[in-house]
Amino acid sequence: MTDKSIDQHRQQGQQLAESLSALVDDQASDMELRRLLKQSDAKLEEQWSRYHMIGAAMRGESVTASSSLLPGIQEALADEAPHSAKPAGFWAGAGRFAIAASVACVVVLGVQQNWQQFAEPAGEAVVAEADASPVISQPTLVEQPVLAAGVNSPLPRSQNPAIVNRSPNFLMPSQLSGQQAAQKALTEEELQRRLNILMMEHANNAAANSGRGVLPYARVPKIEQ
Amino acid sequence: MQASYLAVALSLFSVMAIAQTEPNPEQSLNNSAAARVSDMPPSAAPAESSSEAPLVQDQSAQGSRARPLTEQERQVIIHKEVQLILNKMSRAVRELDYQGLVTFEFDNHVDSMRISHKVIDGVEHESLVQLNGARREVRSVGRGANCTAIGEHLLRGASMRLGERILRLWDLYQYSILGRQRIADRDALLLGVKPRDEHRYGYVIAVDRETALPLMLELVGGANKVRERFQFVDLKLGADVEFAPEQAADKLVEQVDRSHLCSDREQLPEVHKTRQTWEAAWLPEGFVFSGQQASKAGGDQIMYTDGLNALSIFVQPASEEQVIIGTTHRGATSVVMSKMSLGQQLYTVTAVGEIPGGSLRQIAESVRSKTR
Repeated sequence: MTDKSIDQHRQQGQQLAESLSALVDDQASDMELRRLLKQSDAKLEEQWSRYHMIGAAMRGESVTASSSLLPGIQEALADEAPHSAKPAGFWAGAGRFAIAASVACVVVLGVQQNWQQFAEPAGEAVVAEADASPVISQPTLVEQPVLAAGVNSPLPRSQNPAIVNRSPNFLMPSQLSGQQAAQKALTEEELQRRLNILMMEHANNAAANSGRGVLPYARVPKIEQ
Repeated sequence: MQASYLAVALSLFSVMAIAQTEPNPEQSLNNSAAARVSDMPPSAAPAESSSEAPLVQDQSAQGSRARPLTEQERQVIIHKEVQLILNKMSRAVRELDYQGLVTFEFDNHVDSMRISHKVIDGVEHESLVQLNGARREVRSVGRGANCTAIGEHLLRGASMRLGERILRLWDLYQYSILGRQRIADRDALLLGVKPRDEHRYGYVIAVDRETALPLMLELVGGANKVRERFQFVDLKLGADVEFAPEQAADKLVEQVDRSHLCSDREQLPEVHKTRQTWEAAWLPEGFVFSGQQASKAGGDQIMYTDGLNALSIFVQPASEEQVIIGTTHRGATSVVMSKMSLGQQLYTVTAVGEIPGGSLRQIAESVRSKTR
């Protein structure tokens, strides 16, 4: 359908009727709607015919404007006020939090690129945040200079480099100095396995409870067997 | 003239409200102290306008024909309309036969998969096959088509009762109709679903105009950043859909089961028979308890949903050496691990959810025992 024909639809006030008939198939409402339309001596239709103007008005367009009904998603969103009052973005903070936490986790979520976002703010943030986050710090384990370590983990690595995250910003318990790393600490692989189970179980929750079928399972990282 | 105009509009809204009324799931939620879903009569309007009678005003407008809709009236119409579409979308995903290729984008990464959904003798057959990377299929067979989870009730317009307050999905998200878009060679209506607080992500959803299937779903975070995007690039419907599990020796097939997550009035779901032993003392408004079950990784999984976004909290006993604290994300999914101690016992609390990490951290740190 071309933009022009869409615009014709709008001018004819057809869009709402279309969306109702196409999208509202709930039988009860459909029947009720028809009954109402019959009773309404064309007033209702008139109101609905105005409906197409609403979207335009909400987007700040003139009501009679015939500009395209196909705004880019980003563009449409850009017109809206930001969702959050915290434009700085949580994830910068998250990176700092993760580093500040004494025993941070190597969460194995599969994609190397993720971690580059964390790496940037890390450098300057470490010292300040470690002090500023007493709640999440574990004093008994914090002695280790957090950022410096971790690049070359003594741990055995997983076979698949695409899966294992090697961010220097995250530490396993056993990457801490010997006296702190007890024998029972989780290995990287154990943590990976555990987190994958949790991601899968959460995906099951999301698949049942967020109305989009099996799509949430796509979020679970693929682990090579 | 004016009066009949308004009366028609009002009665139309009440009809739409009837269409949204769900079977009363209250009984199934009796175990939830935090919140209950009920079939309370729908409020007349979205949150910000509910205190006023939105349509009975402006009686002295300049003639019925010329009287434009007020902003409130527009909002009411849009919210009713979008709620109906979401209702239909939620049902279409469950009830229709469809199969297609879907791209999944997150963090500058693209995955592709084939999704199949077929209802055979009233039983859902679902499959997600990864088309790149490891050979993997997630398969789910056995859920009855009438098994409705709590999140679906909410998405379909059921109200939730939180203490004194009655909330619906539109009290948590502001709806808008953004336009139309062609996706997977199909004509789609583009909906905006924007959170009213900073504790959850918003959506741009492209709903197929013929079937109401979601052809594209974008999760939008702070600063309007798109955190993940599912998008059909090809869609088959009806009799064209074959559900024939592919055989491959090197493929990992994960069987999953959601049939225990139903929340029907007549039949209490198993997760609700389980006592809730952990709870988040702080939750963003509108997240309701949707079940607790044992985790295969040990410990318990406590589930919450607001109808569009879900989160899970895992509480696992751990020794001092095993406790891990940290946070990360993958696409829209945030993961927060924190520590909790209860008496002498330490626990790792892991919160996983498609909500902003800062909010998820608050949730994780508020987890407490419900039994003592």
